[in-house]
Amino acid sequence: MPSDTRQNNGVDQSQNGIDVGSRRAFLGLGSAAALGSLAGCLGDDDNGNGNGNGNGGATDDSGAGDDEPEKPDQITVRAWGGVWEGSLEESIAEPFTEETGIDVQFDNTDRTVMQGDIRTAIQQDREPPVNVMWTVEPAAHEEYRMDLAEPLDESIVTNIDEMFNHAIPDVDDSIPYLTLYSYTYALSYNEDALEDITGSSEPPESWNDIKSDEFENAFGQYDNAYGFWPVFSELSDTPLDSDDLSAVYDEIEEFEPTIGHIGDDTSLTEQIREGEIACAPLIMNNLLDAYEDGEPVGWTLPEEGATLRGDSMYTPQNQSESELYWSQVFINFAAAAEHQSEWTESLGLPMTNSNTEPMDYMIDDPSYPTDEEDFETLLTVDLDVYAEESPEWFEEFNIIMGA
Amino acid sequence: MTSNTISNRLERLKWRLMDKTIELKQRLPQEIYQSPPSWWGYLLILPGILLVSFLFVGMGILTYYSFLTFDSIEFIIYEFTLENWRSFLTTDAYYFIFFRTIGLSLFITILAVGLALPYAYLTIRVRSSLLRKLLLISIFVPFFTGVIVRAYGWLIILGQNGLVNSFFGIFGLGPYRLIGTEIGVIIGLLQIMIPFAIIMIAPAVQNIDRAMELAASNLGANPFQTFYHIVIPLAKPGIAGGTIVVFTITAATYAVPALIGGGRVDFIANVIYRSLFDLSNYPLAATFSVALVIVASIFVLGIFQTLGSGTLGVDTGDSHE
Repeated sequence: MPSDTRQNNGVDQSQNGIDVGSRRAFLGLGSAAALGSLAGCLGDDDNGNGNGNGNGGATDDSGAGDDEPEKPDQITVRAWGGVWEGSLEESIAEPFTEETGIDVQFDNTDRTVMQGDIRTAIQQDREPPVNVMWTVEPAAHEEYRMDLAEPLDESIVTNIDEMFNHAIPDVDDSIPYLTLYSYTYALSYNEDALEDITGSSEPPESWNDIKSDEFENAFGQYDNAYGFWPVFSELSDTPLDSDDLSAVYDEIEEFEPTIGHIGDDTSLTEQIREGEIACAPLIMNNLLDAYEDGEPVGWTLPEEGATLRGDSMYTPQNQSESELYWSQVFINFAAAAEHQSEWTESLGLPMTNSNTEPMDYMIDDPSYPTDEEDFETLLTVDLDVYAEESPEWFEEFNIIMGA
Repeated sequence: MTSNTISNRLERLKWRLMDKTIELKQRLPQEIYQSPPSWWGYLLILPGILLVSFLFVGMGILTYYSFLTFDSIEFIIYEFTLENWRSFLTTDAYYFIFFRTIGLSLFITILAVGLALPYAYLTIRVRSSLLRKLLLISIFVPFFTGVIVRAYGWLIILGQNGLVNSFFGIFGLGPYRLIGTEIGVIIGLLQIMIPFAIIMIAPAVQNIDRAMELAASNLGANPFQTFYHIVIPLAKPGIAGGTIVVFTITAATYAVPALIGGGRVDFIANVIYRSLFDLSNYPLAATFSVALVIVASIFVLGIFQTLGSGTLGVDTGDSHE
């Protein structure tokens, strides 16, 4: 694929940015000016994918721009294992390798351990252990606040312009990471277990219904109530940035007798499938296979809504110019509508590039946010507040559960 | 070339090598192989000393971290504070989890050692070699599978639709909730700890002179009296060793409470894990770790003082044996 498309894409993107919003327009114009030399090597008109988003900029060996940084043999991406890594490899990494010749290695180190490794490497002025950090959105924001992320270069990550607003972090001076897909912590349930408890297989309409005695030990939670804090906040009518969170903690106290299991995706999914617990605020795609296999499981959005989250990618600081450049090209690949369409199929989650076609089953299900309206009805928390205060919330949750 | 010829050539090569080796030995100073210097022994224990010293250095670093300041963005601020220790010592929930850890560890230790002693006795004294082998294999087979695999196995057995509840269901009972309860955790831990206790107790039972038991029997003691008055006191070194090993491993256990306890029967190791990996609060995790080591060490010293070091073979000079 010809390689000098980046100049045109860079300019177009700045223009597009003006349409989208002033902050992005500023960033787009700023990057177009400051990164003119890089923009000059980003490819030619033929590099588009038919919908104007490009697919990653300069990518092939034939006729690559002279100013383009040298290609590394490989880049390393931190990834979750299993279907997560499999889908990323199939939908993003393989096309990336095919077009650029750069091999993509995956590192399955736990994201929290990797955060520490990156932090240590940067503190010691060493190269980070991975070139692309794939992590949950709040952690990406926390790592941006820790100054671990190299801002994304909009002349390289051109697909930013097509992303939903939710995918782009709300920070003033840069785009440190990009959220590539979204999910909700919907109320997931086992119909048989619900019937045993309430006499009906219908799920509760409100999160408040779960606080009743009949749900004792029948409700699950993620570790640290991860993914439920906006709901606690909503139920207690107390914003999480309040000075006094005692009402929020009172909510946790009320839920405490109902919580029979605290765990991660795997264990919560298993507990619901086995009917050990009746329901939990679980990322909905965990039960998709079981649902399609006819197991008595399902998910719904209670009347208060559910927490919206996503997973993000960023490039850690202290990389060589070459690795940083191609790592950002990789992120651009992951954000391209063409590749996101494949990814959404294999991962079962709605993507954040607005030009990506969601799967049929996602369209009428509010648990799968597929347009800007869907995002607005879901619950979120300010990520700056989250980064600063969440250790205290988590500790308080664990204290209440432990006591 | 015939096989005879090859054989002869190999024989000649072997003798040539032998000659060269003897020649080399004669060139070395005689002291090296006839009376090696006394420090050679110390050289051999150097790797062990290094490994243990890493542990002590690690404990020193942990103690240092426990007095540092945590910040969610800055991570660790190198300013000394007593906040982590204050938080640990004044938070009821941490007390509760700590007492649960120590209490359940003691309970599991008593049960594991109590169940291991007759097992070890039978394994040593049984006349049938086939049964002895079966009993020995039963001890070692669980070690072939990891703790996590075994914990998952218990999830299946103890679950709402598991083997135990199916059994109760025959009698119209249950289903009972066992996952996420202390009973579930105790069962899971016992299954892991009993083999450790047996391994520690068996050598002590082996060392009991059979004539002592026969003498007790001749004097009119029944088998239970013989076991109580002869075997248990003489197996005390094994009981002491087993108690120390089972308690220390149980007190620091993570996987079984995490999996079978389902986050509702946390041990202190689970709190340490969450402080480290979920909160990134290294100073608080260090505080819990140091506190656990202190409490476990006090317990082990207490056992040393009351029962001696047993089959661990450490002569403290203060044992009551």
